[in-house]
Amino acid sequence: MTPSDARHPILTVENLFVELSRKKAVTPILQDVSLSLPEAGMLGLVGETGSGKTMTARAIIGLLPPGVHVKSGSITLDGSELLVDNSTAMREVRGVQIGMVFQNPRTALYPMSSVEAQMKRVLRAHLNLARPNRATRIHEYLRLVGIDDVRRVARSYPHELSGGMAQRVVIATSLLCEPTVLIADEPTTGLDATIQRQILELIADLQARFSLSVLIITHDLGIVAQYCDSVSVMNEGRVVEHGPKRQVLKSPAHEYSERLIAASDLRRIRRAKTSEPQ
Amino acid sequence: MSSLPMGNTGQEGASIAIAVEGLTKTFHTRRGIPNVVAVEDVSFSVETGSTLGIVGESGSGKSTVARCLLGLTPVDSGAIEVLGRSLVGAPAKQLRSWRSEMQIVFQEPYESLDPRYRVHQAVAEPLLLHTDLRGDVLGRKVLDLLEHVSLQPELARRYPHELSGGQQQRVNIARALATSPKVLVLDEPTASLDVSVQEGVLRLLLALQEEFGLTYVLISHDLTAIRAVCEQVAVMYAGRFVEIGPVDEVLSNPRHPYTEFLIGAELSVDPDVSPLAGIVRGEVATSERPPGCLFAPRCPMRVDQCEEGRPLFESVAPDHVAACLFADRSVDWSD
Repeated sequence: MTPSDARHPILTVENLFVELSRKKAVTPILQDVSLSLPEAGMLGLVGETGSGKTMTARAIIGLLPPGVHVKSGSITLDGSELLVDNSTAMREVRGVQIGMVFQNPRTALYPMSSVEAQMKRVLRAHLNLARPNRATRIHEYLRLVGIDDVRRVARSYPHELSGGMAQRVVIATSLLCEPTVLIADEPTTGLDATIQRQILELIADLQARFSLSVLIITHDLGIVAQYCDSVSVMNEGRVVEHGPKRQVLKSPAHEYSERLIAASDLRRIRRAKTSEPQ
Repeated sequence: MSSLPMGNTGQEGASIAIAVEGLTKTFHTRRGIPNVVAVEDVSFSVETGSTLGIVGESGSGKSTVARCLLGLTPVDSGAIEVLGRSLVGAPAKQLRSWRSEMQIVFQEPYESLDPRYRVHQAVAEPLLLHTDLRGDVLGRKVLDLLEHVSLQPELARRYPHELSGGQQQRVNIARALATSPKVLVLDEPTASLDVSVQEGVLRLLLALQEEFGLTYVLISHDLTAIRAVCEQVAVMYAGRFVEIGPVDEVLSNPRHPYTEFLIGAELSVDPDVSPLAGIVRGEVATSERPPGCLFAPRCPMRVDQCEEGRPLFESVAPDHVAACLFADRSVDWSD
């Protein structure tokens, strides 16, 4: 029994329809997507490539690609509607109330600035801090994400960082303005097993320390099983199943979730010829 | 009834398809930047018709081993014998003609294909290079290859960008099979594919191996893929093999702390099966190569003795060796 679903939802998506309009053709991208992220909970959003996971995240933070727009639906953060046409208000949400960790840490960072310079830009845009306090805060947050040689990393450019280190910097940046919600889109894809574990443990640790509410987008059901409270399964732009992780993973109600879980367990494939005498 | 001739599959006695001894490769860099030792003293052999998996993290040297196996990257020292031919020092022209019998499938299915070639052109390319099939015969051979990798003939006129990742990888496999190779090196063939698509590609690889008696070297960082298709597995860390043995034995009874960690780090889809409690701290040091065990700086079992020299392989079970001073002990992962 996970208590998470009983908790007050901090972020909700209700009956969200998103479509791509190109010339006269309209392609539905998200169809009737509803999600609920409990306060201080961790919700996994899983599905395969093209299922609409990332589009859902981008709709939440108001960063849909050109041509893609919300047709109808509602997204609320702590009770207030985000789907209002007000870009100034949205800027206050994005990066301040909602932190975002994008997929590829190398491309999420700006290649032409040092770590410190780009983190300062975030602070300048959102927080009214006296100049000397900015560097202190940046160093504090870099230490928070487990970086030991803060000075060297702060001076580094993204290409000088390893993938794991770059992801730590991205996480530190996303937390700079003390958001209540963190959206992590495939935060460990492309990282090595040892580093994946480090990053996941870091996110779990930060979540517990700051009572963050985390929406983690992944195709890896192992992450859901080990780190999330609840899970929503997406397929072809729809949420096909939602529930506490144990319920969904152990006794999936939807046929698609069942197939996804089965496919994650490649142990079913076996070599036809097991140690047959040569 | 194979319609893909496998060439002269004579020599019944030669049951070893690949033999590598003391393979070492250093990449030289500009002055002032330390050289990168990609592979250091790696030895293994693969029996004909079986699969060796090489597992390790990025930068561990897996792909360099793969490239050396085909003579695509010259080695510093060591011996490589594939299908009874010594590749080290062989002239490029010779290597090229031998390569029809040893092929590679690269990581990125889309990047591996020429975007301007339609599927049938891509599959015909190796045949035009290595055989004298032309015209209708060539066309039939291409369709036959597509059928072998379960691609519908309608896809033959498509361009790579019009295919899904799984279909692209099947085209790459068809290309690799075109010249009837005996050895196939698979460099992360499923890394960028969705889980359900991975399964299809792995099943295809197993079926092809059975049909044509292929010998595989499967490079992967994914233990589930390794477990599904390999007989033997070698674990690579910072350019060296640290453990090698039968896949079931190594994965159920790992004797090197790094292997143990890799297995323990797998996140089960069953919420009631917890992963290993401990995590390995730090990152692989790529530039520093201390004289001792390369894993020692991150190892929870490290003692001073570990830094004295590279640990030798210790036999821990039949055909199962591990390069750790404590290969006979279990790791205490608690912090």
